[in-house]
Order: sequence, then structure tokens, then C-alpha cells
Amino acid sequence: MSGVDFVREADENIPGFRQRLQGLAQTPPIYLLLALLVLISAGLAVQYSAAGGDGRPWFWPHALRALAGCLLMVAVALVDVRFWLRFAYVPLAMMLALLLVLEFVPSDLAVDRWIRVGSYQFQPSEPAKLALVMALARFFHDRRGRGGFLEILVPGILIAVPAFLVWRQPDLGTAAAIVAVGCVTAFLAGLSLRVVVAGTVAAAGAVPLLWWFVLHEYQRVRVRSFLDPESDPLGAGYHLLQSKIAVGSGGAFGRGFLGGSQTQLEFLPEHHTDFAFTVFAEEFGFAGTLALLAIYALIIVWGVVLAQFVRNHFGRVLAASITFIVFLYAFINISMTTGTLPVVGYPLPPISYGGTALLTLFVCMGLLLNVYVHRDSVLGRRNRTLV
Amino acid sequence: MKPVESSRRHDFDRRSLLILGLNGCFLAVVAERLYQLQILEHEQYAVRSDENRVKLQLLVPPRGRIFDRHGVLLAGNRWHHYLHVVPPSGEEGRRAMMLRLEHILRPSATRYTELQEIFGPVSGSRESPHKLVRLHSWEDVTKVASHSVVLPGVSVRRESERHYPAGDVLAHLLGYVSSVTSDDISRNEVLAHLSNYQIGRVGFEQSSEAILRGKIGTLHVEVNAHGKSVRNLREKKALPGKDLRLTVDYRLQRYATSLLAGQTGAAVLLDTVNGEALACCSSPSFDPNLFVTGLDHATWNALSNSPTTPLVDRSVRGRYAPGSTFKVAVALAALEAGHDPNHTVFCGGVREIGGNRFHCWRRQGHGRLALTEAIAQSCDLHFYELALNLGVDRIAAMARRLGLGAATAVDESVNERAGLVPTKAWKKEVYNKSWYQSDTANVGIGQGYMLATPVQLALMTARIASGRELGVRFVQGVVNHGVDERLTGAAPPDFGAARRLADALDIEESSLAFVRNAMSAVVNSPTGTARDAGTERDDFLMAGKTGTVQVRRITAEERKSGVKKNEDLPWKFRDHALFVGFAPVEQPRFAVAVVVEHGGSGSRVAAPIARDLLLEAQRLGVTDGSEGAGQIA
Repeated sequence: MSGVDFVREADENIPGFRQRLQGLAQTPPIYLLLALLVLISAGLAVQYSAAGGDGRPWFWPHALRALAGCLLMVAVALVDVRFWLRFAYVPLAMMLALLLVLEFVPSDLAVDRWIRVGSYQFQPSEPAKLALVMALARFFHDRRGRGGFLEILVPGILIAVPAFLVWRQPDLGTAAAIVAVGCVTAFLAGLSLRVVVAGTVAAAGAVPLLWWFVLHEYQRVRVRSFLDPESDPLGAGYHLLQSKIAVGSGGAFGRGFLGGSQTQLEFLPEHHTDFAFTVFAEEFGFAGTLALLAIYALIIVWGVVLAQFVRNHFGRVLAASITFIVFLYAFINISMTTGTLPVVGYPLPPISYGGTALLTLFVCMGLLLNVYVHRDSVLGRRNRTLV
Repeated sequence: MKPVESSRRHDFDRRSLLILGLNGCFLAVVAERLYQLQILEHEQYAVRSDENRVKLQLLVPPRGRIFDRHGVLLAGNRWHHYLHVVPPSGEEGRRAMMLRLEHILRPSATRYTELQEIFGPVSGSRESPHKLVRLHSWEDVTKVASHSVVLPGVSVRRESERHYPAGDVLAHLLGYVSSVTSDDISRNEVLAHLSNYQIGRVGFEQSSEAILRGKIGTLHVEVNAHGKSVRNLREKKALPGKDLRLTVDYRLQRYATSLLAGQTGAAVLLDTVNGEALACCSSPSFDPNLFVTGLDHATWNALSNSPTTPLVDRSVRGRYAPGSTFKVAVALAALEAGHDPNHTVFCGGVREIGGNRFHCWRRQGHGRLALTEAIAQSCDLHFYELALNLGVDRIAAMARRLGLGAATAVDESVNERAGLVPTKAWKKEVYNKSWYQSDTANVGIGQGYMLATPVQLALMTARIASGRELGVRFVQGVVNHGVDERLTGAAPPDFGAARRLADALDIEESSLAFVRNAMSAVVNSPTGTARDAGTERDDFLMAGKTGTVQVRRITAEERKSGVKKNEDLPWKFRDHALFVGFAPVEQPRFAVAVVVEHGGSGSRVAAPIARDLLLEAQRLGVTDGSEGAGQIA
């Protein structure tokens, strides 16, 4: 069997389009879809409340985007998995191109994360995480995972380049998330254990270096204000303090829909985007936030469990890594708004307003469904072709 | 299954479950954090949430207004608009905000040139924005309001400001309001929480502060993050202050002011029927409106250091030797003691009392005069004689009966000084000295220790004219704003009670008639000292008494070489000119007292002022003001 590595393996058990459609329609992953429905509803409620009980300006666009996202999700799910496998490097290449545009096109604002075309804005750093997952899944799908030099170098470059470009924007939170997603994906995909151990040690050693040489001053201020928010209640710590007041005053059962004074009286900053969770927490209380957390956990568990039964490595890695992206959304955003992490500007789709993160989430869910549909397919390795 | 695939799958299963476990742990931490915030620390954050949104506002009711007897507004409230800002943090934000403000107010930028300078150092918070500048026109107010979107933290607030349309005509009587000081706060702690509150300082503004202030209310407001109030949570209504209606007739007051213009002195006009003060004027005066907006140092120094002391209310606080106007009191005391009015006294111009030479104002003397002529010609020697016969204590008793030596106002609404009616006991107590005959002689002509305020002299005249034990009244009544009366605290003084006719004086009517007649002779007899101040109109005849009070001692040498005329003396050494009078002679209705400091002769300076004021009062008549509110043109 020594020549196996060089044999182009055959694909097996690939369902045709009709079978894929039947698979999704007849045995739908009902828990995942219900969970998504609840999350979208919560998001719409928050957007309605954040506007003071008004459909405008956020509720209706959010609803339309969610609808478009659902259609996109189904479409992504029904595409032949070999298509995604074959073109797995393309999204990352596109995102890198857009990030480079952002890097080299001068902008008026100090922070620029958005590509603007007309009235539309697109934030390439959001889908970059998913694109990275796809690229890494493809890479390790083709490799044997025995820890060769290439197996360190290529993932390293695939992770470092987008992370660097996003950090340059500067958007430290998303850059860190890209690194985390990349590392977890590589870890799941079969990165050699020696590399994992060495990398963990190196990362721990790099934290002080990061603090002094990588972080911008305003980022250090944010971290400090996170460590001691009361020191400057009207300055850098203001947002966090108001956010904590909103979450805390929600109590066990919340102040009722449209009843949160922190929300309705606009004490909350960015209350329809990055701090949308706070609106939910204030108005629905601990019961609400715990339920929300449980639903995110349900999606994660569902994805990881699915991954155990997938018969192709690409799908496995994709499914598990996508649950990690979802986990990061929930973990970073909620920790940030409750003061256990610095305020880094990380959204919580589909609660937060913001098209790119929302569509990214739906594409993630679409790919998850795609993996579900193709769970019994066996895909051969394509190690000679990079694209 | 191929070995590579199977080992990789094995790895994946373990690793994915490890990651899942880690994720679960992290999410458990998040859940724990939410439990901490929303359950364990809920109370604390709920309180802070309320602190965020609920603000207590004190509602200062509109201050009660003050009207004259005819409803002419003397002290009212005007609204002004002020620009408030919550300065943005950071130099750039401040500059941007300032430029925007200047751009919006540009057409009238000349009035806001100070904007740039004053905006630099200001500080303010959401709770208490900084009061930046007063908006001068309604146009500017609407401009700022319509640009509120691009001016976060900028608001326009309305403030009530006290306004005195009468200006300096009634400054002393009304007083003024000015900003609360730390002294006020130490007396009343609530004042510290009233931003921009102005408190009454002198005059009625001070004495009637409780009536005018009303009752302060409270309002709990829900505010949003920008400090803008969203809705009212609970309110305890403020009760507006009550209006005061004074007895003063603005027209007479203004006329008296014009008569005293350029002089230093006072004029008080009373209604002899009920003692109401129709005019109460002190000159020079000041504009109370200046105090409302805050005085600059130069103006304050000019006012407080001026030798003519414009801030002092001479009409109720200026103490003067009454001089010859006091002779009517001495004459009454003598008549009441059984003195024969036909008894004559020879005046040779000078006599000796207790080793000192006492002069009559007329160097060559008056010859032999009976009491009527002695009053008409104001013979000093005659009154030395009467005083020495009476003794000071009987004179003092009469002076007190006529209202001297004590506060005149029945309603205690005016901060007046009591003057001084000296007695033997008083001198013993204060100076520990015996009373001398020369002291008595001096009191007999209203000099020496004797001191009276213009309002006291007016009251003395009104009592003589009416024969009743009048008191002076400055306030006609307290007018309710038409609101609930329960919560104003202490009952307002019973201003209406004094409407009853005053009791008769404990003096024989024949004595009073005699003195009234003699006072008529002062003006209407060809020998009277004030004959030149009389009127041609028989129906408006006035009676009175002149007084010319020395403010310096005339030495023996000067008497030899000839007493200097007032015109030759520096202003501050000239005599005070006094006149008290009433009119009409038959059935008196008005009593007046005029003091002109260093005015020279009472007959030439003070008497014409008194005459003109009495004539004007008779021309206008006395009405109660039921004909409706007037306004100051």
C-alpha cells in the first residue's frame, strides 16, 4: 500500500442534486434549524427594541438580510461538496485581495474595516475566518497529517497573512479570532502533536511581546479600562460600565420587551451592533441570556456530533471548525459586553446588526448543512493540485 | 478503511471532543459571569440603572410680582434663554463643537465674540451642563434648536429673571434680588440645590421673600443618555409666589423722584385717612436691574463708595435732626400741658441758657410773638422758652405720641430705623451724663440729640392732620396667583387688618386744631416762613412747617463777622432743608415730609417740593386701583 499516497483516489457515495434535496427536505436537521430560527427571532426583537420600538431603521433591513441569508444557506447546502472542496482556496484568496485593497487604499478614518460600494458596505475580515477554515480543511484533507515541514509552513502562512492584514486595519479582536480559528482548524485537521505543543508554548511566551510591540496605544487603553473600568466612568470605561449596568439591571427575568431603560434611553453605546446582546440581556434577564447561550451551545454540539459521523475529512474539519467560529462569536461578544474580555468590537450574529457577520453566519450554517447532506460521501485526496 | 484515514479520524474525534469540551468550559464561564451580573449583583446594577435615568429636578415657581396700588407692574419676571453645553472630551471635539456653534450663530457673531475664549476652559457633565452664553434673540434660539442634531450636548434652557420696569424710581422700597451666596446657603440648605435662584436682598424683595418665593416643587424625570428628559415620573407641584400690591402710587412716586432729581434727600407722602404711603422716595437712587444680572466691580464700587450713598434708603433709614419741623410737636406738648397760646415771648435774637449763648435763626430777633406767629415765623427763642418750661421728658412723650422714635410701619414690611427721641434717662444710660438745660433747649428746636426719619416726620404730620393714631402702611394686600393657598406655609401678614380707622390720638382736638392753624399760617400768612411756597389755588391750600438744620457749629467769631450764607459753603457744610406739610388745609387728605440734604433753606428748597407733590396728589386723587392694571410706559 506504499503507493497509495500518489494515487488519485476515487470519490464515492456522492449524492446527486435530487438526493441532496431529498436529504435536506425529508430528514431536515430540525434542531439546528429551530435553533437558528430562535436566534433570528431574538435578533429581530433586539433590533426592534434598540430603535425604541420601531421597525426602522434596523428591524426591516435585518429581517431582509436574514431572509436573504436563509436562501443563501440553503443554496450553499445544496451545492455538490466537491465544488466546495475543489474551490476551497478561492474564498481565502478573494478575502486576501480585498484586505490588501483596504490596506493600500487610503481612507479618511483611522479604522477602516469596510469596503464600500455605493451604499453597501462589506467587511472582508468577517468571512475571512470562514475562508481560512475552508482553505485549511482542504489543505489537511489533501495531506496525511504526519507533521512534515510543509504541514507547518503552509498553515502558518495561511493563518498569518490574513491575521496580519486584519491587525493592520487595525482590528485586533478579529485578528486574534482569525488566529484562534486557524489554529483550532489546524489542530482538528490533524496537525502533528509536537507542533501543537511547541506552538502553545511559543504563544504563551509571545503575550508580553504582543503587549509592547504589537498593540496600539488605544488598544492598550481599552485593555486597561477593561481591567479597571470604574477608574474613568465617562471615558474609555463608559461603554463597558453602561453595558454592565444594562446586563445587571436585567435581573432574573429582565425588564420586559421594550422595557430596558439603558436601551431605550440610549445609555448603551452601539446598542444595535456590538452591544446588541446587552439589549437582550436587559430586557429578557438571566433566563433569556441563559437560553440564548444554550441555543448557541446546541448549534455547537450539533455540529461537533455531526462531525463524528462524517466520512470525509474535509467535511469533518469544516463542521467542527464552523462550530468553533460560532463559539467565538458567542464567547467573545458576550464576554466583552459583560466585562470579562476587553472591548474589541466583535459582533454576535444574528443578534447584532451588520450584514457581513450575518451573511457569514448563514454561509457557515449552509456549509454545516452541506456537510450534513454529504456526511456519507467519501472524498479522495487531491494533493497535487492547490486549486 | 485506509490506515491513514482511520488514524486521522481517530485523532479528529478525540481532538474535536477536546475542543468541544473546552468550548463548553468557556461558555460555562460566560454563563457564570451572567449569573454573577444578573442574579448576584442585580440589585447594585438596578440602582445604578435608576441613577442613570432618574434625575431629581427642583421646580422653582415664578416669583410673585409686585404692583403699585393701581396694578402697575413694579417687579416682574422675564424669560431669558441660555446656551448650555456638555463640552466634548478632547481638544478636537471641543474645537469642532465651537466652530459649529460659531457657524450657526455667525450672522450675529459680533455679539458672541467671547465664545471662543469662554469655550476653552469650560467643564460640564451630562448632569450639569455648562451655561455658556445668553442667546440674545429668539432667532438665535430657534437656530440652535434646529441644529440640535449636529450639536450633541448643546441645549437651550430658559431662565426666569427678575425685572424692575420702574428702574430707579422704586429701587429702595422694592429692593432687588441677586444670586444666592454661601451665607444664604448656610441659613437655608435647600438654596444650594437651586441653580440660578435669586434671593431678595433689601426692601420688599427681602422682607416678603417667603410670600414672593412660593413653594418649591420637585420633579423626578427620566432622562436619556444625552441628558434630555424623556418623561416625568412623579411631580410635586410648585406653588407660585404671591403677588404684592403696594400702597405706592407709581405716578406720585415717579413725580417725587423727578422733584428730587439731582438732590440728596427723601420725600414721603402719606394718605392721612389710613396711613398708606403713596410715595416714598429716596434720592439718589440706583437701578435694581443691575443687581439681577450681577454687578461688575467698578459699578459696585461706584455705588457703595459714593459720598451720596445711593444704596441707602433715606426715606426710612435716613436719620436727621428734624429741626424746626419739630416745633409743632413742642407746641402741642406745651398746649397739652396747659400753656396759654396767647402768651408772648420776646425774641431779641439771642439769650443765655446754662452758660451758653443761644441764637435765634433771625439775628435781629422777632420781637414779641404769640405761639401762632412763633410757629409761622419759626422763632427759636420762643421754643427755647417753651422747652425749658416743659422739660425734655414731656416733649419726648409728645414726640412718641406723634410717632417719632419708633418704627412707623404697621406691617413691619419695611426695614426702617427708629430715630431717636432723647430723655434724661436715655442720656444717663448712654452717656452717663446729666441732662442740661441747653440739651432741652436744643430739643426744643429739633436739634441736639433729636433724630427722626423722613417717614417718621410724615407720620407725625399725618397724625397731627388727622388727629388719629395712624401707622404707615406700605402693602395693600397679598394677591393670590389664583392657586391653592394651603401650602404657602406661614399665614401672610394681615395687611388688610389695618383698614380699620385708626384710634383718635390722645391729644385735645383744640390743641391739634391750633397747631394745624399755625401750620397753615407758615404757608399762607404773609409772615410765614414758607409763604413763597404757597399756592394760589384756594381749594388746594397747604399747611406745613419748615426746617433748616445746621450741620456745622457756628463759632462766636463767625457770628461777629457775619454767618456765612449757604451758597458760600462747601456742599457738605450746607444746611439740611426740611419741610413737613399737609393738604388740603380743611379736611386734610395728604401729609408729606421732604428732606433735602445740604439743600440750604427749608422754605426755599424743601417746601416747593412738598407743595408740588401735594398738588399732584390732590390732582390725581386717591383711588384703590380697581380701575384695572396699568403699565409703565
